[in-house]
Amino acid sequence: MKFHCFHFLPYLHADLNFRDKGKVSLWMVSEHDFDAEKCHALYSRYLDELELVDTLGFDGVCVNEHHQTPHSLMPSPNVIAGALTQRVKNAKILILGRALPLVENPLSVAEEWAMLDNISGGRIVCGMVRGIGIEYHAAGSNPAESQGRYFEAHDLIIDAWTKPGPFEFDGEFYEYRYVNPFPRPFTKPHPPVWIPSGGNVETIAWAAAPERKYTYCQFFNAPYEGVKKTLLSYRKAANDWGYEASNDQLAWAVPTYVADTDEQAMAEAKPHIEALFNDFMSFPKEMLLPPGYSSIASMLGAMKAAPVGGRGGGRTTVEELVEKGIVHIGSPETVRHRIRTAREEIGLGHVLAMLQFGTMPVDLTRNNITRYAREVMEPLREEFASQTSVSRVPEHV
Amino acid sequence: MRQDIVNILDYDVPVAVFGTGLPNFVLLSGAGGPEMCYPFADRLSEFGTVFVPEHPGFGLAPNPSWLKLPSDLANFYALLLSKLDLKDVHLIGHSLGGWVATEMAIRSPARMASLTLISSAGVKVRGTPIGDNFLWSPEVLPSKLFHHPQPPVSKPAPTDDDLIRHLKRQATVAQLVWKPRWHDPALQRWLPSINVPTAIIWGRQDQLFPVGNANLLAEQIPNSTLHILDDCGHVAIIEQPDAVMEIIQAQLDGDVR
Repeated sequence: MKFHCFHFLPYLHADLNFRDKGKVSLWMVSEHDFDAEKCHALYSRYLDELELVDTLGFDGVCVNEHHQTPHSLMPSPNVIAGALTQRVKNAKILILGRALPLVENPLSVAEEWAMLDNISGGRIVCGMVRGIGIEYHAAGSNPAESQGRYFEAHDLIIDAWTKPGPFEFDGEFYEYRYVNPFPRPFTKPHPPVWIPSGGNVETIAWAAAPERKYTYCQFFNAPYEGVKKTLLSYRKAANDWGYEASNDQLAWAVPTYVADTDEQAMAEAKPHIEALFNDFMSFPKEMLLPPGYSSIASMLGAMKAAPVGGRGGGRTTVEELVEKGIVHIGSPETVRHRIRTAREEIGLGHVLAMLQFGTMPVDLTRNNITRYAREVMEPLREEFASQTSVSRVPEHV
Repeated sequence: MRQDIVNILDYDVPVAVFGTGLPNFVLLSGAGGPEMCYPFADRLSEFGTVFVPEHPGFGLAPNPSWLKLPSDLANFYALLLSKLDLKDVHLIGHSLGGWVATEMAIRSPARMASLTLISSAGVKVRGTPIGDNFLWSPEVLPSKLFHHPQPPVSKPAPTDDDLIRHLKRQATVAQLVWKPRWHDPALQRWLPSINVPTAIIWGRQDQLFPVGNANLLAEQIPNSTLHILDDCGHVAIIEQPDAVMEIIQAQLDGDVR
């Protein structure tokens, strides 16, 4: 089991009373008060937090990409990753991920990742995502071409890294007379590719294919039973391809908070986790699901799905989030138990703990990072190392 | 009304046909689908025969591989006119259908007698925003499309087939118009080549495409007349059918003012 820390770098001074002002979301359509001094201070604070994560011996620090929202100060994750190469000395830097269809020139992504791979000495992980639906409004890219552009950009990047150049790339969406990036990746044949997603079945089957075996990372807003079903569907897909997936191919990003007791953890995390789910991550369906973004079957499922949190239902509470296993909030033993269960039931190989979320201030965050490292990560590492073989391979559902 | 199926390039396109005799009208619908045009097509059939095709990609059949842009639909409908051997066609397009009709008038006007554009897509006045229909929820949609929205009527809950049809049509519309949004600069450059009599009809309160778009079309299309309708939103054939009928009648009489 690998332990990582995921950080959204939120602009936590955003006005969360946006609904009182007639706004529907903190994303894209709202005006914001932006204070550059505060923003500068936040970047410094967050880089310090991720440096602490490295010092405490985590396996990786994780960043990602969102646009036009205080939810995340990372419209370009590669910029943050570049800064992290100088702060984080041992841990891997997981970029989860870069939204490929949003860029007009995906060859630049192959180039930037090759740079980061060389600068970091082979410590980056390259997450390839489509971006959530709202990014197609924000970037203007056509959601109906999202899947086609995604797969083609992936092929281009892998080819650019692994095939001798110069060569010609003649795609439906991207066309290059010369593909010959320089520098080449540090890691041979190329940096690890992860596929972070919300559970799209077509994407899972594709990621699990024998020529890829990409680590699939389930994102943070699903109940545990859903996470389990999705990750086991990856195992099933691998079986269908004719091999057994390793634990290393399965990852889960989950908001996590540790305190002395379950009650204390819930009380301390409550305002911040509820701000994340109800305010920072709130948008109407029209924003989240632009037409053509996913297959008709997936879109139909999403249309019928019960709304989560601020997406049309009432406000989600910390109690509800804990009960459904969407978050890990509790005493060290409670959190350890949840991770142990996921390892036993799913064969989970990577847990990405989001240890700052929503409006969580610096003292709580640093305390949370430290306690998680000492009282969750370290004991579990010992516990798992003492087990001779990895837990049984789960029955597939 | 009868429903015909016409096979073109291995695609079965459903065509609703209203009335009989000459002249022939072809009415190309907006993104809402052909059904929105049926009441008006029925009225228009007092003059002749009205053909209302369902745009490829709007039904349950898989999208044809050639379908990427509105100009693809224009090429397709040129084949439809040939296949049905329609001559001297009065081509009417609403919204998305107006974009396709404008493309046809530029590319293949041989079978056309006139062009009528109703709140047509296809052009954009630089710097003037258009409405963002892709962010309009089903609840606000009527108040965005109509100046006087009708009170909602209670309908049976949609079946899975209804939802699939809706999602698929929306995906096709996104494929066609998302970027550049609802317009094509190349189309705009060739407007001066249109040589059929053209009527441009617009609701003054259109919240999707502002009246400035109507002015642009009228300025760029040589033999055109401009009709701005009061108390009218984006769907003049529903909100002001009498006025639209009068304009088309005048167009037929060759007396467009």
